[in-house]
Amino acid sequence: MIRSVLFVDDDREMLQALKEGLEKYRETFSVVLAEDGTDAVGKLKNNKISLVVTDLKMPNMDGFSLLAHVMEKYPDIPVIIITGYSTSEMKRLAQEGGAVGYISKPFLIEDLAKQIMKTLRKESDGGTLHGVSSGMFLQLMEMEERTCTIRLTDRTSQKSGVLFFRDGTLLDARAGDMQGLDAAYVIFSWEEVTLSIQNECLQKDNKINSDLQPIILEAMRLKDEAEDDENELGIDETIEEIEIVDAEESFVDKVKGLLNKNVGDRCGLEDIYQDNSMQKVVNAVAELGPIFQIGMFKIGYLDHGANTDTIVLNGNPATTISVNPKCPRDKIIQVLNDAL
Amino acid sequence: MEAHFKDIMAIKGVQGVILLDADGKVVFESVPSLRTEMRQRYTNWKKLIDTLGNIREADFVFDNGRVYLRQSENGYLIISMQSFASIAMVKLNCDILLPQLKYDKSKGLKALFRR
Repeated sequence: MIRSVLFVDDDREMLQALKEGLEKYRETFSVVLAEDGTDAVGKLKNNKISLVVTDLKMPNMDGFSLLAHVMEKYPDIPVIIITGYSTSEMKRLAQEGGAVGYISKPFLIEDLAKQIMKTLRKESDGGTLHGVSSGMFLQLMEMEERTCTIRLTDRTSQKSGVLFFRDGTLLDARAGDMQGLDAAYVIFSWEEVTLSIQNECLQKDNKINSDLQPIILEAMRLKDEAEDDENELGIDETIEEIEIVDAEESFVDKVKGLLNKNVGDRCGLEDIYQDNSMQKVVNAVAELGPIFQIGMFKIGYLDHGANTDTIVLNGNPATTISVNPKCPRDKIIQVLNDAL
Repeated sequence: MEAHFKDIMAIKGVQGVILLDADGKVVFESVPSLRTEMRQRYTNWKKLIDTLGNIREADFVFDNGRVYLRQSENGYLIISMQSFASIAMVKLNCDILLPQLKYDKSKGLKALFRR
C-alpha cells in the first residue's frame, strides 16, 4: 500500500524541491503538500495521511501548534520536525510535544527519505492481516495484554480507523472525525477488516475506560438498531469520568496527585510545600497583571540555572514546587493551569 | 530597532516586547496595548528583576495571558502574550534573536542592536 506523507512548509521552493527529490520513492509513499499549519489541518481532514513532516516557523499556524493538533486529533500519525533554527531546547520541546524525529536544515534528501521510510515501516512492524473479524482479533489483543496501535480498514465501506492498546487495555480509538468510545463503536461494528499492527502505542490517556466485551456488544446493538431504523442511531453520549475529590484532601496532595496522574514520573517532582517564602515573588509578578491587562497571576515557572527549577502557585499561602529542570515544563504548566 | 523584534511581534497573540538592560532600565519597548498611565505607573522593573534573583528564564501564567522573561547577555527580554499564543514559538524566536543582541558599552544603548 502506498502511504501519503504530508509536508508542511511556507517555503514553496523547499516544498517543490522536496516533491521532486522524493519522486523516486513514489512506490513507497506519495507526497501531499501544505503551505502552513492551517492548510495542513485541512489536508489531514481530507486525506489519509500516514506521516507529517513540518517546518516550525510558519505564518497562520506554526509547527508547534500543528504538532499539538496532530497529537490531539490524530495521535497515531507520527510527526517529524524540520527546522533551520535548531537548538537543544527546540529539540526538547519538539520531543515533549510528541515529535518522533527532528531534522536540522540543511539536510540531505536521502537522509530525510530514510527517516520517513523507517517511520512508515513502524506502522506495520507487528504484521498485516487481511479479511479478519475485528471483534475476535481485538479480544485476542486484550487477552495477550498487547501494547500496540492497530490500523483497520473496513472491507465493505473502505473506511479506516485506529485503535490504541496498552497492556491489552483499549485506551482510545479514532474513526474519521470521531474519537474515544464513539469511534470504538464504529470500528467494532466492522465485520471484516484489513489491519496492520504497530508494536508501540503513543496514546497515553485512557479515553475509553471499558473492557472490550461491553463495547463489542454495544457496537453490535447500535449496528442492529441502525439497520432497523437509520434515523435513530442511539449512540450513548460518552460518559465523562467524574473525579471525586476527598474534601479533606490537602491542596498540596491534590497538586501532587494531579501531576502524578497527568505527567507521571516524568514530572520530576522533588518537593512541594506551602509557606510564605515565595510571597515577595508572587507579589512582584502579580503587579504585571494590570500592567498588561491579563488578569490575576496564577502560576510561575522559574529557571535559575540551578539543580532544580521552581514552580510557584499563587495562593494564600503560595505553593512552591521544586522540579527537575529536565521536566516537561509546558505540559506541567498546562496541567496545573487547566486544573487550578 | 523594531525590525529586530518583528518576528516575535508577528506571533499570533503576542502583545508586546520589552527589553531591559542589566539594571532593569527599559532599552526598548513595543507594547501597543499598554496604556500610557500604566506605563508611567510601572517603572520599577529593577524591583521585579531583583526579586526574581539571578533568573535565567521565567514563564508567568495569568488568567488572561502570559508573560515570558528571558535573560539575555546584557539584560532581560520580557514578552507579554495572550493565553492562546504559542509559547514554544516565542521561545524559538528568542533563541534566534538573543545571539543577535550585543551591547557595546562604548557606543551606548544605541549600539545595542546589531545583526
